[in-house]
Amino acid sequence: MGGLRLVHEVLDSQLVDRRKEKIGRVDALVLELRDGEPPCVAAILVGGAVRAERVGRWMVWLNRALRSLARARGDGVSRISFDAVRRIADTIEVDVDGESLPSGRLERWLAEKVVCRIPGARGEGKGHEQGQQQGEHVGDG
Amino acid sequence: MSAREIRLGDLTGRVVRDPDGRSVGRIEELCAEIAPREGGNDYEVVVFHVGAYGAFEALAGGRFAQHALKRAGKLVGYQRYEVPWDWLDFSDPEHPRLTRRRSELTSRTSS
Repeated sequence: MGGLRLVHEVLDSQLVDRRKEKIGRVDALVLELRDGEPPCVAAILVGGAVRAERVGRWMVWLNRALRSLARARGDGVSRISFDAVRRIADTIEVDVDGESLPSGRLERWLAEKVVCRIPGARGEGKGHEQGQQQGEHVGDG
Repeated sequence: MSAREIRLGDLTGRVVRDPDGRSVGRIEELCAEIAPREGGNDYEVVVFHVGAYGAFEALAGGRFAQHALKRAGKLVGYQRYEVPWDWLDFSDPEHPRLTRRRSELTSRTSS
């Protein structure tokens, strides 16, 4: 059977925005159930809250605690219409601006307030480049 | 999210029952195909993979258990059915129902 296997090939895939920047992973897919027509994929959900629901209740609690610590507004979940998908390969390319997505706020806050304070994260001493890369990965989500 | 929208994760793992109320298996995979429409494309789910674990059905609730049971393959009597979208009734998405007889389904023993 051909076609796109949603669980194996789409769920948890890396998302990149129109600038080819990593913006997180496909944490959930929203399907639209239509009368007399096959269900269609309506949207991609990205964000810690959705991911946490898949892990378990304790992770939902941890996510809420982190968000309140960061004084984050909203639930931090980005809903990307499946119409915005441009390419599905090793990564999924979507025609959105990653900087504008609410799902990246917590990661950006962590990168700015926590990761950057770790010795070496700003390129002090050895592992200058490696440290910077690690910071970038956290910021990428 | 509107009443007609559902998350993929809320469908996978759901037990599918036949018209007589007997368990056919659990939804494991959804296969989508591109359907052109005005102004773009839709990805439509055309086939659902439903996995049956025979006598081990009760143990197959979690993802880890499902993977382990699939590995065991024939030992646990694992079978996978490819169910066309219009053979499933999602009027109650928590309790999907097969609209045809189980004997009409195409079975594949490998995962």
